[in-house]
Amino acid sequence: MKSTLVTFVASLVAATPPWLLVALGGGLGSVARVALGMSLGAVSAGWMVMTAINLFGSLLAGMLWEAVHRTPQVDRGRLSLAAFAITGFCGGFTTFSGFGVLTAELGQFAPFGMAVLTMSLGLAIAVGAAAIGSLCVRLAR
Amino acid sequence: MRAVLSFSDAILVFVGGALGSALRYFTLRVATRFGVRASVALMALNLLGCLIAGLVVGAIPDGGRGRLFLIGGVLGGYTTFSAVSLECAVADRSARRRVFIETALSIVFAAPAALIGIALGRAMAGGWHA
Repeated sequence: MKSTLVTFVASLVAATPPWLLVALGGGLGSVARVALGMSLGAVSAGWMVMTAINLFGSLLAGMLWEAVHRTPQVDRGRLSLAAFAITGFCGGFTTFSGFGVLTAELGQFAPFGMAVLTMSLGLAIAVGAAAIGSLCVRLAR
Repeated sequence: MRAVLSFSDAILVFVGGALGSALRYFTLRVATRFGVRASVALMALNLLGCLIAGLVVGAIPDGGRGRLFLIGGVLGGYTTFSAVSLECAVADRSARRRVFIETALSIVFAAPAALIGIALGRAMAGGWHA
């Protein structure tokens, strides 16, 4: 019974075009980002929430990429998972436009050092976060 | 500001984020088909997203549903930070330097692109209202 359900879901996912999986994952990721931004934004600054979201989303993307691609064979199901979870969810959860706008607002309304700090954190996350995520999965194997 | 996302607003963000993410997928597909490197296309897409997001922020006052749909949904889904980070993580040794430079350029020009957008958006809104 359980295996029938799993097979059904698997064939359903395999029949779904990648762009639709990306759209579904991206929609979910966006809702998660906005919901977190609203709840955490009530207690901490917008740029901190944005930085944390980009950090965790990039870490997660690195972990998932390692899990999907560094295997003996990359089959259709794994590619579907990558489209939904990496390109879709992580892509929609993290935001580059939010990074640009929030950094610009800091540059306009806060001491200039704040904008420089956000940019430096952004660069560190962009260069290192996914690499650290994938390293964690590799070490855990 | 409300601390909880209402169900109808969540639907709005979901639809916007799904549209933006699918648009990002197609943009990258088309760009790479025309021979543009994925990391370069990603940089262009992200900076364009910053410019348009700035435009929206400059033109539409905060708190409305239109802005939530466009900023939280469409542009948030269209642009992405995790893919930039992933490009850096998976770049092979020969491409590492080039990808790092593209990433640094993206980060440095994100805020200026948004600022240009904000200025344009304010000018447009001013022009419409005046």
